[in-house]
Amino acid sequence: MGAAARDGRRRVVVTGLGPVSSIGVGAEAFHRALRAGASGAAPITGIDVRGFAHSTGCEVRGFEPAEHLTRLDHRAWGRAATFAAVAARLAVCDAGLDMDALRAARSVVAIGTTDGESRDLDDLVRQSVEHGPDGQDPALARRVSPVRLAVAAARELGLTDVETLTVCTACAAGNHAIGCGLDAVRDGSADLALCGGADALCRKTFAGFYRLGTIAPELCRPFDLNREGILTGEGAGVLVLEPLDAALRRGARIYAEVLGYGLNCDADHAVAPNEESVARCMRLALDDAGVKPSEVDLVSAHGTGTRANDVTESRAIRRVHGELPPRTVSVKSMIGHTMGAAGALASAACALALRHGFVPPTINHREPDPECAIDCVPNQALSVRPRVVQNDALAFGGANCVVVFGRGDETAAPAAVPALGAAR
Amino acid sequence: MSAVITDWTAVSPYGRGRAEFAAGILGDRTAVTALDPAGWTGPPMTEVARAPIGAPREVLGRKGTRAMDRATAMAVLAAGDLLPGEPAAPDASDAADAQAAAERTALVLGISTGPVAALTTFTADSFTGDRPYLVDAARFPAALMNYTAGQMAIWHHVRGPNSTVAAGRTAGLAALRYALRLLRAGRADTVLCGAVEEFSAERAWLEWHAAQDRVRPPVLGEGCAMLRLTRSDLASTEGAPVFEVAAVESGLAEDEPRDAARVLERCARSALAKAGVTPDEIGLVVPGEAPDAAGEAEADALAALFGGRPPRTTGCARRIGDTRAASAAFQMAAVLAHAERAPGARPALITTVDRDGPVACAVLRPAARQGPDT
Repeated sequence: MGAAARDGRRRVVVTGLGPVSSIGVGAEAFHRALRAGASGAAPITGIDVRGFAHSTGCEVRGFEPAEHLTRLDHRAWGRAATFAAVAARLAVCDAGLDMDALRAARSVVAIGTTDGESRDLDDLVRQSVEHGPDGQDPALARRVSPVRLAVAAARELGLTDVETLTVCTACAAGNHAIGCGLDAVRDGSADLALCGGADALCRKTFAGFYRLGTIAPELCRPFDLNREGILTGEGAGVLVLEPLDAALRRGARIYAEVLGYGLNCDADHAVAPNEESVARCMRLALDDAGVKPSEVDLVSAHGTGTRANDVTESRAIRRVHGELPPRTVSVKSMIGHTMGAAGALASAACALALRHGFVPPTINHREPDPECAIDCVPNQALSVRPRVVQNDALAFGGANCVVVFGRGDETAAPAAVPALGAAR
Repeated sequence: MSAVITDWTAVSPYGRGRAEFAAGILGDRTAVTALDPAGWTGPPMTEVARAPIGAPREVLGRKGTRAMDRATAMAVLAAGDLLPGEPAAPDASDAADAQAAAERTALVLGISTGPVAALTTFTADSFTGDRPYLVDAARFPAALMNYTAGQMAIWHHVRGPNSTVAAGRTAGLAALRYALRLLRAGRADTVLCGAVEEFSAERAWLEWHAAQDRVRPPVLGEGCAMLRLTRSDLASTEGAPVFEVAAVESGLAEDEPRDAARVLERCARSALAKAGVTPDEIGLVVPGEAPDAAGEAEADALAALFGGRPPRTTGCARRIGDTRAASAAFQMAAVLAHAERAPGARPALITTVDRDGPVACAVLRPAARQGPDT
C-alpha cells in the first residue's frame, strides 16, 4: 500500500479549517472553545422574536466580515453567502495555500445548506405581507439563489476553474458536501476541494421548530434525561481537502485523513429518523473507510437534543458498534443546531480533536438518559487521543450522511512514506 | 468507468411523459400560452408555459399530498416513469432483490431557488398570524429544499443516496456531475438524475424583480426532466444503452458578462478534448438560452467555438419557456429526443450559463453497443 493511494484511490486529507461559529471564528478560536466546553447560547437578536415565549439561540455575534474578506464586497451578498465566503477564506489561510497555485488548480467548491439565503427570504416574505409582492426589494430578489453560497466562497478566492454547487440536503448537507469533495479529489476530477456548509439563523426555521415544540427554552442538552430540544444556531464551516501526496509535497499541516463516507435515505418518514437506516448509513461509511466498527473510538453525533434524534441515533450506534459503543459527543450542545453548517462544523471539530488529541465534551449535561446508554463525555473535554472518528448527520427527508476521519500523523507515518517523512 | 443514459422522461409544458416532450420539441411546437388573468396574483406577465398536470392530489391521490407543491408532484411522477413497477406476484426472493436494488439506486435532483411558493406560504403565517409561531407545522418539511427528493424516495422506496443540488440554471449539469461521481465511486449502480422547476406567482415575482432592468420579462416555464444513469459495465442487464455522457465541465465567471463567454468557451473546449471530439464533429448544439446577459455570453462563446460554421442549434426555452433549474435537464432531454428520430446521431453539446456566474457544458454521444469499458 502506497502513501498516496489505497485500493487504487487517492488518499485525501484535511489541511485547512474555516469555522465561523457562535463560540469562535477561525480554527484556533474554535479549538480553544471546544476544549473549554464553551456555550454559544444567548438571546436571539438577529431576527424579530417578539411574541415567542422563549428565544435563545446560537448566533455569530459581532460578526465583521470585512475583517476577513479580501475580494468580496459583503454588502452585495446575503448573510449565509457571507458566512460561506469568510469560512472559505479562513480555511485557505489556515491551510497555508499559495493563492496563485490555488487559482491554477481544478477545484470544487461545495457548500451545504438547509435554508440558503434564508434571512433575505424572510425579508422578502415580510415585505410581501406588508406592502404586497410588488413591494419586494429587487436587490434581495436577485440574491436568493442558493448557489450563491458556493459562488461567494469561490469569488472571494478568485477561482474560475471551479465547479460550484450548493448542496441542499437540509441538516445533513454539510456532510454531503464533504463527501462530494472527497469523491472529487479521490477520483482525480479535482485537485482540491473546499467543502462544508453555511446557514444564517432565520425566522422561518425558528418558527417551524418552535411550532413543532422542539426548541429548548435555554440550553441544548443532548442525551440528557431532561433534554428539552434544540437551539437554532448559525455559522459556516469550510474544510480544505487535498490529496495526501500533494499535502506532503508542500509540507502542509495535516489535521486528519478523510477515510471515507456513506450516504443513504430512509425512504420512510418526512421528518422522523429510521434507526435501521441510520445504522446502515454508518456501516456504509465504515466500509468506504475500510474501518471496522471496533476501530472507531469517537462518534461525533448528530445529537440534536431532541428525543426523536438522540434515542434513535444512539440505538443505531449500538446496533453498529455493540453494547459498549465509543464515546459519543454532540458539538450541538455548544454551538446549537447550525443546520446546513452542522455537519461541517462538527467535521472541523473532529479534525481538531484528531490533530490536537482531545475529545470535546457534551455540555449542559446533568443526568444521562438510560434510553441512550452512551458516554457523552459530559461537560469536560478529555485529553485522550482519538484515532478514528465517525461524524453523523441526519436530515429531514431521511437523507443520512456519515463521514469517517482518521489521524493525520498515522496517515503520514514515516514507514508508509519513507521518502517524504521529513517533509512534515 | 463511463456512465450511460438508459432511459429518460419529462413532465413538461407539452404534457406528461417522454413521448409528449419528444413530439413537441421535434415538431418545433411552442407550449407557450396566454396567462389566464383570472385568479392570477403574480406580476403583470402575459405568457406562460405551464405543465398541463393537475394539483398534486389530483395526480397522486389525496394521501400524503396535502402539503405537496407542484415541483414535488412533477418529480415524483417523473421518477415513477424510470423505476420498475411492483412485480405482480412478489415472492421472498423478489422482495430481497427489490430491497437490494432500492439500496443501490440514488436520486440526485437539481434545483434553483427551491420551493419558493411553499416557503412563502409557510413563512407568511409567521408574520400574519396572531402569534409568530402559529405556522402550519405539517407544511414545514415542504418548505425545505430537500423535500422533493425526500418525497421521491418515500413514494418510490428508493433507499440509496438522496441529494439535492442547487446551481441555478446549471443545476441539471451539476446534478449530472454529482450523479457520475456517485456511480464512479461505487455508491450506487443506478442514479435517477434530473432537475425540477415549478411555476408559481411567488417565483414569478422573484423573477420579475430580478429582471427589473430588462425591457421584457421572461416567459416562465416549468417542469421536470430526468435521466436514468447506469455504470456502463452494468448496462447490459438494463437493455440497450441510449447515450453516453462523454464529458461534463463546469466553471465560474467573474461578475461581468464578458467573462462568462470566456469561461464557457474554455469549458467547452476542455469537454470536447475529453470526449475526443472536434468542434466540427458536433452534430447538435442545445444552448441554455438564458433570457438575460448570461444568454448573450453563451451565444458569444458558441460563436467563438464554432467560428463561421455552427452546427445545427436548437434551444428549448423559446418553446417551453424559462424553466431555470430544469433548463439544462430539458436540454439533455432534447438531445435524446433528437437522437431517437435520427439513430446514429453525431455527438451533441449542451451549454448553460447562470446569471450568478456558474457555467457548465456536457458532451453526449450515442453509446457504442458493446464498447470497451473506459
